[in-house]
Amino acid sequence: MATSTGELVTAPPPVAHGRSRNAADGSAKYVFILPAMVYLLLLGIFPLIFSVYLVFANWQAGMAAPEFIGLANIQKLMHDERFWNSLRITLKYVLICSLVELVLGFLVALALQGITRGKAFLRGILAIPMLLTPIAVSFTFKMLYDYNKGPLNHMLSAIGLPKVKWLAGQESALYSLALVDIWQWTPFIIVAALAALESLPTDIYEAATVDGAGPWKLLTQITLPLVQPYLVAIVLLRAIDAFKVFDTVYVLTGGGPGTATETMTFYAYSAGFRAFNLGFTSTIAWALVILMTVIFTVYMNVFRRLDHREK
Amino acid sequence: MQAVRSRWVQAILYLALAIWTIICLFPIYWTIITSLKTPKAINTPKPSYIPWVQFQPTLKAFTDIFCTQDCADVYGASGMGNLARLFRNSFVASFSSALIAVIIGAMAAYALSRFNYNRWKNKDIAFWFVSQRMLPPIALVTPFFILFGKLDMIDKLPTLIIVYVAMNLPLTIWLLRDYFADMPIEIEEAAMVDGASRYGSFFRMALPLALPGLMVAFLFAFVFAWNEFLLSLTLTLDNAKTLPVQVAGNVTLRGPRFWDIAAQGLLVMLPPLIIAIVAGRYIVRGMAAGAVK
Repeated sequence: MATSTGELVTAPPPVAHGRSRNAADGSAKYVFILPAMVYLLLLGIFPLIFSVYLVFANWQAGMAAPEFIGLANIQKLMHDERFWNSLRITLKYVLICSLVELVLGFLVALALQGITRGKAFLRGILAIPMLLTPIAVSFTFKMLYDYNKGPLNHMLSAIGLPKVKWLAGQESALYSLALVDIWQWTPFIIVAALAALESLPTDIYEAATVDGAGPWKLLTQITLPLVQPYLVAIVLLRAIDAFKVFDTVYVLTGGGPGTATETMTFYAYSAGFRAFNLGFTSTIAWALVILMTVIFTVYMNVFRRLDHREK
Repeated sequence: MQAVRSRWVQAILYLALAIWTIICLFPIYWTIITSLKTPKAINTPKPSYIPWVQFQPTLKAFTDIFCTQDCADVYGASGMGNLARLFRNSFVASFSSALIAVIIGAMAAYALSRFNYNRWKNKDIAFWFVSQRMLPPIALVTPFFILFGKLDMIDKLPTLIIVYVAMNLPLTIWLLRDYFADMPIEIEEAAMVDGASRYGSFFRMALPLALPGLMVAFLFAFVFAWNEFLLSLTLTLDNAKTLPVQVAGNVTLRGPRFWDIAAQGLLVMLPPLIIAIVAGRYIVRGMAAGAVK
């Protein structure tokens, strides 16, 4: 390949990134991208395909190699009440978390956007929970939720309310888990929603204010319609992560009481690493993958629309 | 949002934010003070909130969790001994995987923002990378367990590093692609006019200029690897076990020894907490951009 220095000097400056230089880049083009591609093919795609095979296989404790059993795992899944229970619980959990986090996060973001001083400082402080180790956060809530010695019940009693069983209650356990998620991940919505709010053009607001619009009108007629697609994208991203919930369940409830907090990931884990039926674990996991793919597709569509709008 | 400058509106906003800040910080505060309590201070009918006023703080719980032998006093030996070794495991796995993910990720991100792949659209390649972030880890846990088992690589630190790089690559590519795309291309053009190769211009121009972005991506990857639980739980037994797995086991076994739980919890969250306090602002910016852009 001839060195292209000469061409470059005379070539017109590039209009778009990278468009002008394909001929000159030669090997670099592939050397730069191949490591990441090969890596993710080997450690993402290949294991995933292997786990498809496991869906059609029986592999339990003591077996030397998996045995092909066709659709048996899928049939078992269809008739497994515990699986449907875990699906319902996961959906409920995701719904509670996403909705509460969206509303709270957006309100706090609006408040942050509205204040005149200390915005950067507060944004830094309020973001702390989402970086903390979920396992450690679970310990923290284990202490907060303690029936007798926990501060939450103490505060409830102090204002005359009855104590709550939190993690031990059949009904309250899932909400208590969701509350941990809400504490840890509302900050994500705050930070992302605030970034969306800051990206809105200011001149519209000035024009509307000149026209006599009050804060409420600005919020409902300008801000909300403008940020709404961002909020949808943000909350879907959050939902995708909430589907994977495992750590808090593992530490705080172990799926209990009974199976009241047994999420899909936790059930899949128990099937594989407690009952040691790896084929069935893969079957549950694939149900989750399919579910999440649907949601991710929606997310990408919202995302593409945003992208188009900006251009 | 100029219309909300009135005094009353401001007062309400600050009040709301103050309440939220308290909610946000109280659990962390509670963990810290609980780790400083004696068993006696914890086993009182009413919980105490203020150190020195309501109880005498002590660092005993911390010396206790690091104790390797003969610590059977009132605190009861934690018996986990090797916390320091596990801390090192976690650190080595997180640090190395973050470093590798940032290097490979930076190259791919640079490629996606500078080159044009004829047959595929760059956007589709980027999408392919990002879509891997969506995969639930549980789908990969079984194949990893079996495949690494076949290779006799269960319970080895390199195994964890390998899977953490895979976990973090999509994220680093995503963050850095934006970073490189926003970087003025002219500097590199100039370098290449002066005879630098693509590689030279990447290593000598683009990378140093992208250093802040690389740092943010690194910290992200580090924190995610540090916080990771499910993969470590299933791919390690003892030798390569990470801190969260060990501590989760301790706490589940030991019941309500809160001074102990709190001290161990704090130890686990220490690195992310330090990163959040020191570099939180930059990370937040990266996170926001990643979600909205």
